[in-house]
Order: sequence, then C-alpha cells, then structure tokens
Amino acid sequence: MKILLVEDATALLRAIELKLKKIGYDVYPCSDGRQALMELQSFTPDLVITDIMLPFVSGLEVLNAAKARNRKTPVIVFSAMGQENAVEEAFLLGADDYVVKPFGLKELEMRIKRVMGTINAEPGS
Amino acid sequence: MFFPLSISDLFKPGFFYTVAVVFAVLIVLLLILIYWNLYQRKRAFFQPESFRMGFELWISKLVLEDAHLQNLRVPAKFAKHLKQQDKRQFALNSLIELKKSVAGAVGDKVVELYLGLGFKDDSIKKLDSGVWHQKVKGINELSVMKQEDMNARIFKLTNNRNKYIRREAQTAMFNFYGFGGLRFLNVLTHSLSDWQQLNLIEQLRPLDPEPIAGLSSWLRSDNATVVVFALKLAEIYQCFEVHDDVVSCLEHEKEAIRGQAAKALKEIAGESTADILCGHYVSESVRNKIVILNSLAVVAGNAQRPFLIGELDNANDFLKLGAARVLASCCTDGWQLLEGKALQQPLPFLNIYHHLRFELKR
Repeated sequence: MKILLVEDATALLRAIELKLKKIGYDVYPCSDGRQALMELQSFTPDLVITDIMLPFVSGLEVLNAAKARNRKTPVIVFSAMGQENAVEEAFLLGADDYVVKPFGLKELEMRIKRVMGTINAEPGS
Repeated sequence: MFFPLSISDLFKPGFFYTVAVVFAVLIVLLLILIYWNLYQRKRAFFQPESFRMGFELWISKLVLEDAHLQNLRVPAKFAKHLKQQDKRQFALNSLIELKKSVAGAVGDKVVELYLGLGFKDDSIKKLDSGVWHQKVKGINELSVMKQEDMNARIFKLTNNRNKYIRREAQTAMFNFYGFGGLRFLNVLTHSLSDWQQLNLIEQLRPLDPEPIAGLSSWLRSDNATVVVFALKLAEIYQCFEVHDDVVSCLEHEKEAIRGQAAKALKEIAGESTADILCGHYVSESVRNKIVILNSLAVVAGNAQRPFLIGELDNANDFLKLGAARVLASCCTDGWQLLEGKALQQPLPFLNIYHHLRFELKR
C-alpha cells in the first residue's frame, strides 16, 4: 500500500516513515506541501497523511489535490492542539480522520487500519 | 631611480603583451579566489545540513527501538559535532520538536535520549543564566522534557519580575501538574495580564476537569488579577462550591472584579442568586449593570418581575433593552408585558420588542 506522508518536522517525518515501513507500507515522504503536490502529479497514493500547517502550501491544499485526483483516496490530517477550525475545514474538504499532536505512533497505526478498513468495507470498492 | 620605460616604449607590442599577461594572471587569481569563497560557503551550508539529516535519521531510528536506551553509544561522526555549541543546540532543538509531536512510548524514548545525550545539563545551564531569554529557553526545554525534579527551581520563577520568565515558568507548572500547577497563584504578586489569563485558560482546556484546590483563597487574594482569573475559572468550570466566595466579590472595591463576579454567578447560580444580583444592581456602574442584566437573563424568574418592570423606565436605553431581554427570557408573561409597553411607548419599546423577537427567535 502506498502512503504519501507530508510533515515539515524532519525528525517526526523520519520516525513515522520508519515506523510505517517496518509495518510493511510503502512510504513516500515529503517535507513540504509543494513537494507533496508534485508527488500527487506523478502517482495516486492509497492513503495520504498530512500535517495541516506546512510551509509553502498548506495541508488543506494537499488534501484538496489528493481528493481531486481520486475522491476515494483516504486522507488523515495531523493537527496541533487549538486548531479545531482547521480540522473542521479539513473534514468539510473530505478528510477521513485526524490525529492531534502529540500522538503515539500506535494510535496513528490504529487510525490507518481503521480508515483503510472502512474504505475496504464500502460496497463496490 | 632609473625608470626604463619611455613614452615610445609604451606603444610597443611587447609592452601590451606584458600588460595583457599580468591582467590575465590577475583575473585567474580573482576567479580562483571567488570559487574558493563559494566552496567554503557551500561547505559551511551543507556540512550542518548533512549533520542535521544524519542526526535526525539516527534519533528517528533510536526512538522506534523497543528496548530501553541503556549504554547509549553516540556514533563518532556525531560525537565530534556535538562538542560544538551550535550543533549541540540544533540537536537539542530537534529533540524538543519531536517531543512536542509524539506521545506514549516514543515520547518516553525521546526523553531517554535527551538525558542520555547529556542535554539536561545544557538546559540547567540556561536556567542558571543571567540572560532572560536563555532562562526562558532552559525552562521550556525542562518542561517539555517533563523534568519534574526541577519543579522547585522553576516554581520560584513563576513570580519573577521579568514577564517572559514568569509566563514560561507558569506554563511549565501546567506541563508538570495540570490543574495542580495553578498553585503558583498562591504566591503571585505581579499582575497576571489578560493575555496570560487567556493563555492559561487555553492550556487548561484539553485537560480533564478536576477540583481546583485553592480557588477559594485565590478569590480573596490581594492581587486583583488573581481574583479576576479565579472568577473566570469558577465560571468556566462551574465551581458551585465557591458560590459564597464569588458573592463576596460583588462587594469588592474594584469594578472589574465586581463585574466578573456577576458574570461568574450566571454559571454557578443558586436559588438566591437572582435576588443577590438585583440587590447589588442599584449601586453599580452602567457597565456592571449590563453584566448583571445579562446574568439575570439566565437565572431570573417571576420573582424579579417588579424589579425588571421598574428598570424598563431607566433613562439608559441599553439598560431598558437588558431588562426587556430578561423579562422576555425568564418571566411567564414577559412577552405580553413588552407588547403592552410597545403599544404605550412605541419609542423605544417597539424597536426593543422587534429586536428581541429577532434575537430570541420568537
């Protein structure tokens, strides 16, 4: 399964990337929104995980672009505490789940499984 | 001194060739100098960059390990860089950023790394610094890394004369103890600004509510800003147990405290609250009268009807509107009363009636 991972904090990006690779996912890490948009032009990921606050291009634009490419691509957003308005906007744009920082990597793993499980359970998918 | 060149020599081809060669050599030397400078600057840029990428990858791998990080061995390539102050600070900043984003087992690993790499000593050094921003950074690092053994030293700074040190120390208390961290209010003599109060309330928001020890004594504090903050806490967390202390604040000498107390009573009202508010209304400023009327809109009942009807004749239109709002919200025949008033005195009661119909969607 291909996961597009977008996070500007490099240490966190690497930690999540390594964790997801250990589990067996194919991870395409991006450290900013611009890079993520370029990646979205070259392939369609099975799942997008993106921070909301990103340099150059916000996570909401990445979410928009992912949904424009394929409406059924699930998207999980990271947010910091106090960003409820941004999370609300993300849901309006079609986000499937969100994780508030600080979070445990186990929690992220469970949310990925939940989101992918929901998609697989949809009739006709 | 004999100068060999004459005017005619200057126009000879040999002279021009010599000058050309000299300039060519100078240009080549200049180009070498430029490239050397660019090479040094590129090295100065990429070397920290390669350290940064390597270090972040290394800590990302370490924090995912299942075992404890005992006998942590720092690779030689990082060890030498970590002796330089700027790279050491960069490494510490990376750990701080990572700790702010992750929780659970990974978060604990980050703290283990922080201790294992000896960064706690760096943070303590900053805490001991005489420079205020270094102190603030030290407090922040220790609090993010949950070094509760430093709480006594940080607690002393919650009443520091420098507002930035005070704020960071107060935030650190929350990080360590949640609601229990509010105990700095016992000793705070400096003012707690409105902005800092907002920040503190915002920090408390994600925490599970628990009984706020000390609230009663804060409501009697000599520090007016502590009293205001305590009233806000009583309001937000509906601390019914301090109802009587809040009522006492209605007689405080400061108008802002009396107003905040009236506002708080709306959320912790008892049977007698409406009467108490009406009793204090007469002696209050216009601003506080409006606050009292807003609170009465939640807690009043038919018993306050005579008082509210009297207030409809107040010279101030805002107070008329406030009283009308309470009547419409809380009294059984409130709307009929207002309709009658609108017929008797269309100006201003017709406007007030229509305004309230729209506002209260009736």
